[in-house]
Amino acid sequence: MSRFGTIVWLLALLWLVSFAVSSLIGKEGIAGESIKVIPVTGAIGFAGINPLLMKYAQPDDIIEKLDKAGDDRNVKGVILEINCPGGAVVGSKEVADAVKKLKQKKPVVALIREVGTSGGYWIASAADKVIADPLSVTGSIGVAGSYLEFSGLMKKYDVAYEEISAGKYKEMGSPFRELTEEEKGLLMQKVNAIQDYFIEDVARNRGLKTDDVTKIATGEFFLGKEAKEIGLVDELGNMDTAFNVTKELAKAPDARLAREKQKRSLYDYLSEFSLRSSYLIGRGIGAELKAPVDGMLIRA
Amino acid sequence: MPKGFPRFKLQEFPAALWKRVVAYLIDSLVLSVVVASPFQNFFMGMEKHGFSYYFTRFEVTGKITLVVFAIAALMLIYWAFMEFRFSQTIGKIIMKIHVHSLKGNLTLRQCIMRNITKISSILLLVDCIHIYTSKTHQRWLEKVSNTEVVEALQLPLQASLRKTREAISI
Repeated sequence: MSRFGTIVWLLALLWLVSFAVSSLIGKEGIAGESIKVIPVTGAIGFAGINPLLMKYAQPDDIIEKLDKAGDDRNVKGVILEINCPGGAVVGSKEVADAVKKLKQKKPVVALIREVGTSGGYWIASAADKVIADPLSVTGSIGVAGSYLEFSGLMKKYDVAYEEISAGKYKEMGSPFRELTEEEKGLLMQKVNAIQDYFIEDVARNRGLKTDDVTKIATGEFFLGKEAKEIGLVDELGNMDTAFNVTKELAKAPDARLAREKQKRSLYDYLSEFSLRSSYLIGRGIGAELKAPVDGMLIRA
Repeated sequence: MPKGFPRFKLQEFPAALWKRVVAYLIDSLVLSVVVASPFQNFFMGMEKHGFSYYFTRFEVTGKITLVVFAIAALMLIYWAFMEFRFSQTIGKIIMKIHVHSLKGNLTLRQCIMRNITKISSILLLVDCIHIYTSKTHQRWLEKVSNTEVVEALQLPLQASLRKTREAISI
């Protein structure tokens, strides 16, 4: 046999033996089975936008973590740890869709901690089970599109607003002029359309009738125990409860809880420093201003 | 030089160190694809835990030992068999260097002995320290097994004689 032939045979044989040994040790990796905890903390940011100076629960980051957990053979189930008051519409919807996609592969359990309202609840409803503390704040199924309108203030200071735009509704929602009745009606239509979608999705996710969800979709928030009574939450409990439920659904009794270490970037440290400095400066100024004012009051 | 006199001579000299390093890297790459890649799922997620996690779980320690032993044995088979059969591995073929026995023909025992430290990077590193202290640029196990890695150079006769004198004077 030629040299080349011998080398090829040797490599093939080595690979075969290696493959046989790897098959012998089984499919389970060295890290063992795990239940991954994915946090959803803070308001849901805008999909596709990563604002530098604001801290949001970025939908793209959460979706990436969900996809990774889906691809990892060692991860047998996922717990979504939710501390989220809601936020952007599309961002919330995208994360909910990603949760629905993941639960086709492996069980997902949503655990509502302090708050899981509006968009936060939308995401939770997409999971296989929703667990909340009896005193968690949840629900608030509704849509808000409110904004500050400064036309009164501008009028007071003789500031005019010159509207130059093409398109009847182009400046609709501008904070510098009043909304007309027609425009208000139009904006309400949009908000109602989003609300209808929200209600339908939650009803579908929770296996509830749309009419029943519509009745409770007044924007009212519910405590965990109230939410359980009306079907928004499956069980009352904490992380241990969520862990046990997930292990049961995943049929992985020996799985361990896997939390990702929160990596703090330079930006996190700088922003924390900046916030603390601003607070202390404010306190100092406040203290200085207070002293002369007190003095004046006494004199008066 | 009279007509018909050989103008060039093929001579063997200790292989340049950079050639040996490149040859080793090529072989490592081949082995990582052939031998280590079937185990990639096994090692997935390993970075999630520290060492103590793996060595306090008996079932994991057992598997790790088996896998490490299997990979080491297969790597040693590759190095030893290739050098015994062809005096070269794939990396050495590409870099045109080969293994030469200082005492007669190259035996399998010599090939196994000279390559045993290659199953571990740390052992190999320790073994390589001898290259800098040895005039013949041999690793310690190469000295023990009476082998060396050489390259054949085709030199003009006079240059060959000069190089030989240089080699003798080392």
